[in-house]
Amino acid sequence: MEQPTLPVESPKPRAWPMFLLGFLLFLVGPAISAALIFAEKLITPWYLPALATLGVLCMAFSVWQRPGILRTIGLVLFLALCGFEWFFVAHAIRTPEYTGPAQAGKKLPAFTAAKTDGTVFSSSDLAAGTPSIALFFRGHW
Amino acid sequence: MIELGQLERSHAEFERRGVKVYVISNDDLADSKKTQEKFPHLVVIADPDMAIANALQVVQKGANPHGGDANAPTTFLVDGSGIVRWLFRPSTVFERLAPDRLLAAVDENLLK
Repeated sequence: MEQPTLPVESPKPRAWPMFLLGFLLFLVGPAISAALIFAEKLITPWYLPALATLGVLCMAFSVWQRPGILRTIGLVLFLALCGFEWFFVAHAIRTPEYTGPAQAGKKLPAFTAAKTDGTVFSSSDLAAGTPSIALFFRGHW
Repeated sequence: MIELGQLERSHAEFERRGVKVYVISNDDLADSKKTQEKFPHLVVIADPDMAIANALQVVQKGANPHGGDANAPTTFLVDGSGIVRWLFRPSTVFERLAPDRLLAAVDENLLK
């Protein structure tokens, strides 16, 4: 006599590995930043929101595969963080185009300031025969 | 200050080309003196009132995280008669001109 066979249920996908992979992708961005700063490579960190987006996709896939409250809350929080990273890179750290008077081919406008030894530094120092680089930086924060 | 460190280490290349490097911020004189000590081959200019920054219009409003304005990072190559020959403004405050790119710009625009 034949035994009745029970339908075999396929195992449910595990909830956390994909979510944790997404979390790891969020961490890779800052790690790359630290490595680039250590290597003195100063570039726009587009990789930060790009990796965060991949991370969110992994998290969303994990929640879609097997819904859960904790991971759903996590997904929403990381989605917000990802949005902030896009805003930060695409808007907050942007510099405006240079539209001032010191365009290529034009004479520098007149100015006066001080060197650190107290002597005067003026636009005429940059017209005294020696080619020069005038580099504006953000200072000692 | 990574950028200033890179320029300082490349000072021999600038000297060989006969080019002087002025670095300008709106730090006060005391902070500018500290910067000068750290980078002795660059000429550090204190521009606390932003007189130069305003004249050249490189002020970025509200960009100082402690409040107030800051210089938008900008590099000008100026020939010996005070004419601007080339300028560089990065698209974001994170980006900077690497010394090899700056030297290439000097060769192309100041020494040709």
